[in-house]
Amino acid sequence: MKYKRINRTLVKIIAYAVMAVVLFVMQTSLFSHLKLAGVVPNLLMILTASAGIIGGCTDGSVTGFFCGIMADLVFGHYLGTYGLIYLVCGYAAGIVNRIFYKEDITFPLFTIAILDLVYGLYMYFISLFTSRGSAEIFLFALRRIILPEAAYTIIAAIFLYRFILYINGKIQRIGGEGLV
Amino acid sequence: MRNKRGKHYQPKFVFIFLIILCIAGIAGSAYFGTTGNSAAGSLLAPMQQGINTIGGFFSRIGEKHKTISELEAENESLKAEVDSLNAQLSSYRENISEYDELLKQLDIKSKYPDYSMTGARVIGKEAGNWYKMFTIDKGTNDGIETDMNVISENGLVGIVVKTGPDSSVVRSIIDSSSSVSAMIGKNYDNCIVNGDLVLADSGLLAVEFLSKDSQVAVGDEILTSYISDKYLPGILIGYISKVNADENELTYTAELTPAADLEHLSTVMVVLDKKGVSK
Repeated sequence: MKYKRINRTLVKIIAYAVMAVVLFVMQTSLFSHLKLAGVVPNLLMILTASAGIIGGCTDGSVTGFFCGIMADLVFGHYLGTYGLIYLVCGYAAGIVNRIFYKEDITFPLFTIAILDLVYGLYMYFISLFTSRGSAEIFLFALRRIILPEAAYTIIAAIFLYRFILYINGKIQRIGGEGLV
Repeated sequence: MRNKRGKHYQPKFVFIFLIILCIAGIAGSAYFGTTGNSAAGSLLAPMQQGINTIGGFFSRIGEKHKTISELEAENESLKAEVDSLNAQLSSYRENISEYDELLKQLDIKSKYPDYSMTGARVIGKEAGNWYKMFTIDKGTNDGIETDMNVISENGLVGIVVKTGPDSSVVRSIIDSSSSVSAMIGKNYDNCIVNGDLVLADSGLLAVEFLSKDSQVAVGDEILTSYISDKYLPGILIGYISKVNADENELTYTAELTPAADLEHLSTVMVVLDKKGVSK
């Protein structure tokens, strides 16, 4: 039984790692051809938030950390800026896990939307340090980047959240067979 | 995340530990500067290449759905354009022969001296919507280094900021953290071309510190300047599309339409000569 549990954790880690890499690659290459209103959806945020909602705080923060650091290593100005926000969002999604049923899709979507807005505000805050003249354009950034991104992310999340939930169900069953 | 005795690690501690890692990373890279090495990018590059091909396929399907009437209207307008362009072309031919003679007289070197270049394909865009960086499929194995200029056939595109063995990250000039020392083509007056988050939305760049005496006008070409420390001199950046007087009445700001199509890049050229490094 002990080995089953370790086995399940290992499978979960591999599954999340593979999903993170695939979604990151899709976000950077495939979705730059499928832009709506000039923005790409934040697939990594969907994965992070879903991991938190389905699996709790630890799952959320570790997944978020991994996704963020990957984005940092490839594109980041400073190593850890993306890591920090995805980590915090993953942990926050984990808190939601205690409150709502994960099978109901409304609350997860709502949570993902809120977290993506938080991510947008954080990125605006970071852009104050990395870019010139960002201070005056908060409303522009909100209207043109943050809100469209959140909307597109929800649309993508409708499909992606169910998929991640399905994968999680499969992983849970690996341990369950030993008990039966 | 359990240890061997089956106990939970406290999520709180995992969270705090990872937060400390992130902050250490930020502090470290702010203090030491980013290394400009993108090994992780090179691991992902082959996958990006493959998926990018699929993405291109999807966007081509989208293009096919243009209705026939649209195409007919486009055909009409294009025919009219061809006529007017032909007329322009013949007048330009005359101008060019005149221009060549003038060049000889002035003994000005050609605008694009023989830089050695290498072509590269754009394989990925930045992960979010805040910065305009992209990855290309050439890296240190092809002799690419950071601070090399990236151009397209029309003009300046950006600069290499990170390199890996087989891929590099390029910061586009339209990125809001980009800043290029430039000059006006007609009188070599200096100015600064900045990326701007608001103007980038309509594909434009901001030009600052134009002196009042520079007599800048709509349509003037803007080139990279001789005093820039990273950009090679004389590369076309774009054309002035709008001029505004500043509040202090001493300088002008302007909007610039980039000569390169920065929104739809698929291939770029990397200039292998770096400014300040002799061959």
